Amino acid sequence: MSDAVSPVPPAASGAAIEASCRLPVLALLGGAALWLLAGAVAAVLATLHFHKPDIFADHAWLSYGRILPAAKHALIYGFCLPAAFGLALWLVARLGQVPLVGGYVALVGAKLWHLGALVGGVGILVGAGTGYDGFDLPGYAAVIVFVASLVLGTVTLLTLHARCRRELYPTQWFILGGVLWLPWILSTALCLLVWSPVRGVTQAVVHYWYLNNLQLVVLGLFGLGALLYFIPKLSGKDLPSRHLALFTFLSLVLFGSWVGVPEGGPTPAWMGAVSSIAALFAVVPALSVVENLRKVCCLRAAAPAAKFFSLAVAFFVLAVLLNALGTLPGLHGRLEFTLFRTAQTHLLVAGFFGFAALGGIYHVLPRVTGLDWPLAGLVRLHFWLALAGVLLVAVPYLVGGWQQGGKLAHPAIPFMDVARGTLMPIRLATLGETLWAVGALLFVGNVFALLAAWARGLVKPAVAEWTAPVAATEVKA
Amino acid sequence: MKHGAYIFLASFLALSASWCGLVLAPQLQLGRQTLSPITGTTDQYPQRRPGLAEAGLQVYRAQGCVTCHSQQTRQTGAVFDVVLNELGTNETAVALALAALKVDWKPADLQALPRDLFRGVDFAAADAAERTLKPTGAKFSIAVRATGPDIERGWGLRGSVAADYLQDQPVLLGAQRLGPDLANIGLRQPDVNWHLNHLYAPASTVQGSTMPPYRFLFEVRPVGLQPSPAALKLPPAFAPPAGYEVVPTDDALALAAYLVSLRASVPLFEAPVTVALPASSAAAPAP
Repeated sequence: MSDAVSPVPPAASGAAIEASCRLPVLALLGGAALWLLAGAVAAVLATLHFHKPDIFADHAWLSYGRILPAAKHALIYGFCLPAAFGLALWLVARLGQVPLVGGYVALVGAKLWHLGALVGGVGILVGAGTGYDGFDLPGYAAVIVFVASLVLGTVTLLTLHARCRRELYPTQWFILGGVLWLPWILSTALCLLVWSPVRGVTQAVVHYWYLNNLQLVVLGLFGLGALLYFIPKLSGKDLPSRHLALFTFLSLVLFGSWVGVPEGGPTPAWMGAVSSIAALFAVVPALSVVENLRKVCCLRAAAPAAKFFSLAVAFFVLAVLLNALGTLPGLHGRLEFTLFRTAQTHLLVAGFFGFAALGGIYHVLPRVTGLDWPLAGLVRLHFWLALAGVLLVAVPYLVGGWQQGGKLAHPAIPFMDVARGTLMPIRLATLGETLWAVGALLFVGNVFALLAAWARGLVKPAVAEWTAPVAATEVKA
Repeated sequence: MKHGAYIFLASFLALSASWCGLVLAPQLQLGRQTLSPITGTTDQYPQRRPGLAEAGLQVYRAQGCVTCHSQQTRQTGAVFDVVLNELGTNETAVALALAALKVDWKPADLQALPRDLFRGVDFAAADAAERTLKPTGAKFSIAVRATGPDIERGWGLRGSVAADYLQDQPVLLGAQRLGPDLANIGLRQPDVNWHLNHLYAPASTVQGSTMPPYRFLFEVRPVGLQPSPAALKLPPAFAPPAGYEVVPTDDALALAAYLVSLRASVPLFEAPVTVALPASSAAAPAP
């Protein structure tokens, strides 16, 4: 194909580029690893409520309504978005063949982001959350995160602008879009939900819009952008079509950004209708990315990260298809308000983006530190744990949610039967979340073993220099 | 391709279109929505919640109740009941009209009024009945009922509409029903004490409840010289040890007041429903 395009690695000054990315990328990705574990543990604690309802009845911060939003917060604002920025910084520097512009500014941005996420997480646990799913962090934490997104976004854009290799690789478009869109939606949510709340259901509409744009569009842009680089890279082939990638990009921002408002709610009917149509069209970017990456599939590549990337594509397609399915006229009424929607979100955030980001981190960290993974065998184990973890949450929720919706639609079935029917899927999800958490623990162990090795590498020469015997020639001189 | 500027422009246009469509347009459509008059009264709907209930909304938000409870009743349609109340002076015309409407009636039926002519018919049938009966001078009434699984569960008299949420901040519609919908919980359970007991020990009021208890909203303390009047009256199985009492904190009282104030069933132009209750009592603040 004539418009094939190669993810060319930088020939010159590769080491300088890696060195320029090192600190901000380590700060973003290392912190993200800790958040992944924190979120996974919180998710396990949340599901325990369905084994024994009064398990945490005397602890406000562990109550279901706080620990579950905190778990989601940790996953999205602690893990996904910092990982997105960490990978984006590395990718724009590498693809542009230019050292990061303002590396220390990015380091400050990274620390600021993690600070905002921490303040937000604690805020949710003490009961200062906003109550908006996916935007639970209190306003003061959201401001910090917003400023951090501006800082990190600016560094990304400046590096993109300063690129030596003028031709843009598709990944760079996706990152450009994500960097543009994230501060935009964050500021909109901050202004219209927290600072100067709009009236009535318009709040709910802004929230639906924000949540979908965060999960489907922003994470979609960063995640697909990364996959369009890593997958051809690991399979050692060229990306088959630049134009198809452009089509993926445009259809995602054009259709994906309208999804989110459910039909039949107290919002004006046109909004739900538009969103449902957009959800059907949002299948287009998923199918086009599969068509593009199909021929360069890296599932059998040797690199341990390769499996993560392949599965991320599969999860994206699955999540988008289920979303479209859930808006079909016959099914919408049944599936809304059920665990089915939870499963779909989980497949998108933990499945698609989680896998893309984990693969990316496994690929990038050895390169920026110049070291191999100290516990390389654990990477493969983490893959299987993460896969089992996502599936053991998603499958019980899909099945349980389908049944839950069917029962809700029959008023003759007492609500208590509906509620009790959701217990088993959530109890099974405890197993899935636990496997996911064990995987996260291995991941954190690996990341911090790598960081320790890297730090030793920094300290060792210095110590050696200090403790080295003074050469006899020097003494004489 | 060196079209960085075009890529930027394209994504900017696509994304700003979405912002205009789903953020700006709702503002233009609903941002200045006014309160609705309640038919037959000088009251407006929705009224502000009483102070304690407004504080309770913040407790509802802080405890993340929205994680499991929605606050939006769904309505799939509406049906009509036509009731003949009085025959008026022209019984022959009424009889002809009933025959024209294909109502199965016997002359004896007309002596036992009021009598249901149609139950649960669609708009067209109710409209035809009205147009046929009106010229006869008979007195009849047409009632509107909402339909749908939520309504039949007793979760509300009509579907929730935008006007129901004008006084709340934040608006927590909810997206999950691990617990029942609460849009009208104040109509179903108007008793504050029921809610307090339910929050302290859900299974004490709803057998087999899967809801986690919110014991941290209550204080279990030794009974002083006199038992507190606010202490919960719990069934023996859930009562504290002898000599102790369970007293709700301010947060618990506020949350219960808020739950009792959730009554979104006033008939509105966009959500018509015939209610047995006097309209004003449904809109009234919590007791």
